Amino acid sequence: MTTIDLADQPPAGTTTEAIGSAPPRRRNAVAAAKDYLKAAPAFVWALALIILPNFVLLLNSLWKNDFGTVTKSFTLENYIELFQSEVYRTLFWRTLLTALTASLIATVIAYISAVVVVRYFGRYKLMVAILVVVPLLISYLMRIFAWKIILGEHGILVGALGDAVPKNILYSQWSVILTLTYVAIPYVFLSVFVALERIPPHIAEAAGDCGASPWKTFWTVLWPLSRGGAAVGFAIAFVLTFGDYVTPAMVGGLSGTMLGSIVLQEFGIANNWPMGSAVGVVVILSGLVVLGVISLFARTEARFD
Amino acid sequence: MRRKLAVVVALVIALVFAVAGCSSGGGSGGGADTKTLNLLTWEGYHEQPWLDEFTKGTGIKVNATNVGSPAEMFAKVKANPTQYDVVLATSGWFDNYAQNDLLVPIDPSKVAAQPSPGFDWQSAASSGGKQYGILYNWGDQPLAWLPGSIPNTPEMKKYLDDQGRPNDWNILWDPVFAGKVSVFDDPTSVMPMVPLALGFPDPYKLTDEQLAQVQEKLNGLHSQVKRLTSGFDDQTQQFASGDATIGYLNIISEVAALKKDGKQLEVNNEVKQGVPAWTDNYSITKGGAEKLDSVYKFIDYTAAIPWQARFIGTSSNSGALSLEQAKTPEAVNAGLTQEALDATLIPATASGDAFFSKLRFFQPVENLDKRLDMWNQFKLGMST
Repeated sequence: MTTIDLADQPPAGTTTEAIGSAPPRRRNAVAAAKDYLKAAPAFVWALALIILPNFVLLLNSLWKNDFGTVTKSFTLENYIELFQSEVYRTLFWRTLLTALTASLIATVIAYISAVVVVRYFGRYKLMVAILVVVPLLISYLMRIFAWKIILGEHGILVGALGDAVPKNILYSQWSVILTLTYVAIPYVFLSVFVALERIPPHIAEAAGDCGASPWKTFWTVLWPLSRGGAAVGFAIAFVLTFGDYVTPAMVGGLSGTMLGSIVLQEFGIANNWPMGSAVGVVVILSGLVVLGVISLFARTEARFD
Repeated sequence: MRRKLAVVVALVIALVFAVAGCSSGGGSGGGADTKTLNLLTWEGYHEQPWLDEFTKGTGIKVNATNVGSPAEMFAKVKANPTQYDVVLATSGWFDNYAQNDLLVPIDPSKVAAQPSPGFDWQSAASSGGKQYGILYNWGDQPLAWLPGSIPNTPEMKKYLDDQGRPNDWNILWDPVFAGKVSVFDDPTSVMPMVPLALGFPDPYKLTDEQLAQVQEKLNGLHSQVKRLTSGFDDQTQQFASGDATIGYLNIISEVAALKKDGKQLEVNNEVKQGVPAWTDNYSITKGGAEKLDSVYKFIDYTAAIPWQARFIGTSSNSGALSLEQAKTPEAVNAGLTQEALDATLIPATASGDAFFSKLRFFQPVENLDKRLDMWNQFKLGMST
């Protein structure tokens, strides 16, 4: 039997942390440097591939362009011209609408698919998940080109459904939305699949045992726990679709022109790198705003394990 | 701890800049391989078997990369001025290249055979009084149509010449061809056609009032075009599939390409209002300046009759030969048959000024930013 000496016990109201922990150990400088150097590759990667390129882009956007020659004097005229230009404003809103629409549709389709796969495919769910993402192994251009064949006036869709589908669906904004949705689905699916996989099945069973209908179980249990994954998937889809210019160029025709083509134009024909950089900064900042809003949905409301 | 982190990050930044500084003398770098040329060119201009022949004869290897537009070519050179040694710069772009100090002037004394196609190509390949290019190919952007696509109606007669061929750019705006007009995505090449359709003699120097009219006319083309093509092959396929039946042709070699697939494409190189034209010229970059011996050997080799005759005969381009040179036995032996010659613009040069006066070679324009904005408005379908 262990005897407890009350004289050794802490006085009432004293926190254990105040008296329970030892004084902080001092590591020597060499050990500390070793630890930081181990993290150095990550710093270098972030610096070289994220911070510096974006900094250079921002810097370029604030410089003047005089007939193709960049003058390194700071000015906001690129941004002023952007916001005053009806062309850029129109393109911006069209691009934003297209990207949001495609991302939303992709998220809905991918979420439903992920729920079906996780719930009904049992031990085959991983294999099915792999099949969903396997198109990513094929060249992006080839996948876009395939949609030209599917949606063309003499394509597979018209051939199969005849007059039930419009013949001029290709080279329209709808064909851009459709193709971007297709491109985004595997990415959203992966994110949602992982989120759903983390939810223990007994939680849904417990809700059913408590009398909740399938819809109530989904809305009050599954959705709050998985909406973070859906939000992340939506964010990935948005980032992919907002800056795309290849898809609009291949399947959008004149009606599908998006902001990315302006960036290409400014860095090419226009030889106006500062303006192109300004458009790039606007694209990045717009994406960050949308991602900021999405992050509000990415919080999980409760721990479930 | 935060201070230590800041010190490490600062050291890492310094290390990165130090490494970047050591390697910034790069590009093709000091000690450039003078027996290898990196060439930026166009589809069909420098086929690999021909380059292999050149390598076999001279020991100089040529790596060719194709581009789809003058803007793409300029962007590539500007992004990395020493990556390519020789580029085929298009007329109208030399001011851009010169202002950005991307090219070195040509030394005509080092060019054995100066091209003599019958017109002043040197002016179009110069900037600020310095010649930056040597002609390799020239051509125009003709009006093209599929046989049988022009309705035989009284309304069409106003667009036709006395041989029944379309001879008026305004035919592209006729509602009969809604959604069937082919135009490629290159404003600097396409927009000169629009002021010509309006009857303005100089499509490169327009007043504000003329630009406003051009904007309205260009916007009117929106409903005629389903999509803009990019690259020669894309437009060829558009005609081949019947998605377009009439259009503004990017390059005459598309006719030969369609013919290989058993399809016909008619062209008119002498549209009554005039026809935009271009030259593609060998130009030497800063990278090529370190390999001048090899560069001029390559230019001379490809300017010679055998190479040019083969290039012209294969692609139906006009090359850099005069009509007399194109008819020599040397040219015929290299593959430039009479049939192949007739498919080019070279026979038309026999008319001299009567033909060349209709051509409007690309030049720098009065306001490129304004024209690009007009082009974007056209693409968006925005009305004035």
